[in-house]
Amino acid sequence: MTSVLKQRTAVEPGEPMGIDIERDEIVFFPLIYWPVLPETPQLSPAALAKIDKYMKNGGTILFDTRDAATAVFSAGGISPETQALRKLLANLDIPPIEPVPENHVLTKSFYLMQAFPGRFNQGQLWVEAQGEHNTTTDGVTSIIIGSNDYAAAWAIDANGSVLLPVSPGGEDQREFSYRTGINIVMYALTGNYKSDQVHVPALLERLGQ
Amino acid sequence: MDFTFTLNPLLPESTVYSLIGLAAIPLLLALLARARGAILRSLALLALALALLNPVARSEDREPLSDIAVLVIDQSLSQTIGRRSQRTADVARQLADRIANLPNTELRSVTVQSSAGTDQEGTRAFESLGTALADIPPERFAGAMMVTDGQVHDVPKSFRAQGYDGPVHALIAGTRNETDRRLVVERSPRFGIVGQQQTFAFRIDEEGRASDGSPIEVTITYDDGSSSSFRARPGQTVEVEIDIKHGGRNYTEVAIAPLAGEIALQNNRTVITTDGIRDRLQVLLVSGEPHPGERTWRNLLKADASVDLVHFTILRPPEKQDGTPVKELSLIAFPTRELFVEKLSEFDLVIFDRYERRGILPTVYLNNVVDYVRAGGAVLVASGPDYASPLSLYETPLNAVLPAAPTGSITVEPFKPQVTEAGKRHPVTRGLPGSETTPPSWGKWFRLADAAPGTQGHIVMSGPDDKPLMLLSHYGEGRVALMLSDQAWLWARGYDGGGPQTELLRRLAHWLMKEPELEEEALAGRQDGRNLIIERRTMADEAGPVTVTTPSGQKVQVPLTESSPGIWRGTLTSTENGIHRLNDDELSVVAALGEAGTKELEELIATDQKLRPVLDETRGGAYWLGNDDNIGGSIPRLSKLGEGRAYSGSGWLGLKANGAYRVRAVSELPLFATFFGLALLLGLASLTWFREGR
Repeated sequence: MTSVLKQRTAVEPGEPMGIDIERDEIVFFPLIYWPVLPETPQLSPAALAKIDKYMKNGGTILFDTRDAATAVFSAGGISPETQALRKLLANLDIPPIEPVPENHVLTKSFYLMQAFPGRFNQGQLWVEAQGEHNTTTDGVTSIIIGSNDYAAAWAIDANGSVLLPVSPGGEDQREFSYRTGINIVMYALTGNYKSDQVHVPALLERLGQ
Repeated sequence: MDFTFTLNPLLPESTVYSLIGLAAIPLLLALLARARGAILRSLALLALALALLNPVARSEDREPLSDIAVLVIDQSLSQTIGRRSQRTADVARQLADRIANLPNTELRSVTVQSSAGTDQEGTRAFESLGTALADIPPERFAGAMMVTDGQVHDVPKSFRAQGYDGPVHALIAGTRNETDRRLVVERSPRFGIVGQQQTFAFRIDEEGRASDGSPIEVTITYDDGSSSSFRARPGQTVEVEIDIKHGGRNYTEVAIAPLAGEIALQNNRTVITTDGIRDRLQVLLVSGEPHPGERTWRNLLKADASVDLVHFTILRPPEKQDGTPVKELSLIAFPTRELFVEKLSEFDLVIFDRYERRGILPTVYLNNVVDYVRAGGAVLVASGPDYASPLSLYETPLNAVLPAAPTGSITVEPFKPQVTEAGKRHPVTRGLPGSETTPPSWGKWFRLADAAPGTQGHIVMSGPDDKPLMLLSHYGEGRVALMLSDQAWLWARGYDGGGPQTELLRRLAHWLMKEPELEEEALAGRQDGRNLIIERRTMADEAGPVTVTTPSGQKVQVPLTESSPGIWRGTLTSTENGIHRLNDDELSVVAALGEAGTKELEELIATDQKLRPVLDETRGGAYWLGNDDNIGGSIPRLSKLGEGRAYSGSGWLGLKANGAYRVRAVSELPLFATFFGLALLLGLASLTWFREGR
């Protein structure tokens, strides 16, 4: 993902880092990618407080349950990963969420797109419900929940060749998974910049009159 | 010693008369029957009646009481013009001497002064007189003398209604044929948008002489020193458009040319105070790349109601292409020509946020930015590691305005940003919340682009080893700020306790846009009661004394002392209301004490007309003191008169002689309750028996 960002955009990110949510300071990261495992342990109160503060101060966490393909086989369509995520979020102050609406900044923060595939493409991407913006942040969602196993689609080995196939398949889907990643990173860094851009021509028009 | 006779009956008077009446009936019968001894018996009854009624001779030891006259000395602002104050003081002293020579008369003096609270009330002479009368018994009041210009604003309908019966005299400290030209404000604007105009309406009045109606020169002077003039005819309402030059208080002085020989120039000018409201500020934010600090800038500027933000982020530099069809990209072209050639001068502030030279802005555009700053624009370079790179903005023509050159290295270590000594004086960083303690109570940053400061500007914040962190500088008419770390967003995220990034960046942006409140070199005066508090903000080590020119033209030097870093204060107690001009070596401002349009300075012609109703009611008179230069010669002779006569005449001034006295001691002598009374009674009774016994 980092190399794709470097190659295609003005963002020059550092190497992605693995973090231990219990131990590491997370405030420096503009975006945290959190693959949810079925056996995710219960977090300590200190770690929960840290996550809560991070999200309230403008940080964004992308939770990926990676179960888009397998969920249908689980009881009631709820996979162990989803259950683990629910258990985790139950202890956090999470705003209402909704599927990414058609006009959301995520659909236009770099690429124009309406679907957000990863290794799978069935999974819906969820964001904080728009509307009543929290005044302490700028209305940028602090939580993104997906299930398309994004990291798996982005993963490459040292030689730059892909590690895992995408499903249902095709390099188009892999291209779109990169685009999804770029849009999410751009969104985390620039916030609602793209939604304001529509006003710029009007502002410029007014200048000099 | 005076005697008075009174009855002091031993029994209630009615009882005495009833008893005498009863006793008189048989006596009357006896007299009618011509009974023997009836006349003597009547005399005995009369003596008895006198004894019962007990007549008393009373003598009083009296002390005559002095009559009290009140001298009201008008020291209001209108009394300061011409020779009035000297004349008033002379007359007051001479009157006091003369009253001391009058028999049995004492004097109370009160003064009337203008204070900050009396702007709209004017001269309250009768209020002062009332204060003096409060402890004077009405039966001792000999009269009041007012030494004034006659411009009294609280003349009552009736003075006698207050219970004092004595003459009120006016000694007018002016001459009868004074002339005055004055400017009367009819309508003045309270506020206006900066850069626009507001309408001011006024009239020129002339008093004491028929105007020949020729146009009079009017000069309008703005507080930046610029002025314009035109001509207007007296007696007509004139409307003039005045410019709102800057934000905050605008003081605009309107002055009319003097009339030859007029008594006062103070009312030939007025100062209009208009609050300048700034139109929305246009800010151009150019982010060189998406990064976490970008959202901090966006949120700050978007939350600012006075700012219109035009933001461009370079999402993809020209050299990076991935062959994606344009219709699948959400990228718009950066309208560089429009922004940096056509509309650059419309912006109040241009922010380069982690901007690197990436072939987007041609050199000629950055040259435009230099010209823009020189002409009064503002540039903020909020840099990070980019500043140390070969692609640094410093490697462009923009280095002409930048206050520090990158050394090429980057310091990476945890540090607490510090406010420098210069920063403690600068309004952008002075008293920043958290800077009170050492070390400051805010979070750490981790990265700083090293730079060598030039000769321009002040280092207001520093990093580890006193490396410059934030520099503020002036270039031409414009301003430049340089931030050498891009980590203010760590404060926003609350890391390590967070910090006052909102306050700091807001002040920084508004200082760049010349917010008057944040000027580092400023002189201001404000009113506090009767005091004029002078405040000088400066980055210099010393602030020289300020010369204050009062409305009457008096010049006073006020020394300043440093009250906190960068702020020097001084206080002047002034009795004058109106516009005070403040000057030091560099700056010149005006400050208003009281309302600029004080009633005192509206009408200045000496007059007896306003006091006339009370003078006539109390049979007092008006005396013009200024008919000649021989001041003493005009003071009327004083004399004391009994009640019921006119108290004034040509050349003399009357005070009422009340003849009041106080009883010091009383002695009483009962006339019948003595041995003489007893003897008379017994003698008459014995004579009666003797006559009847014959």
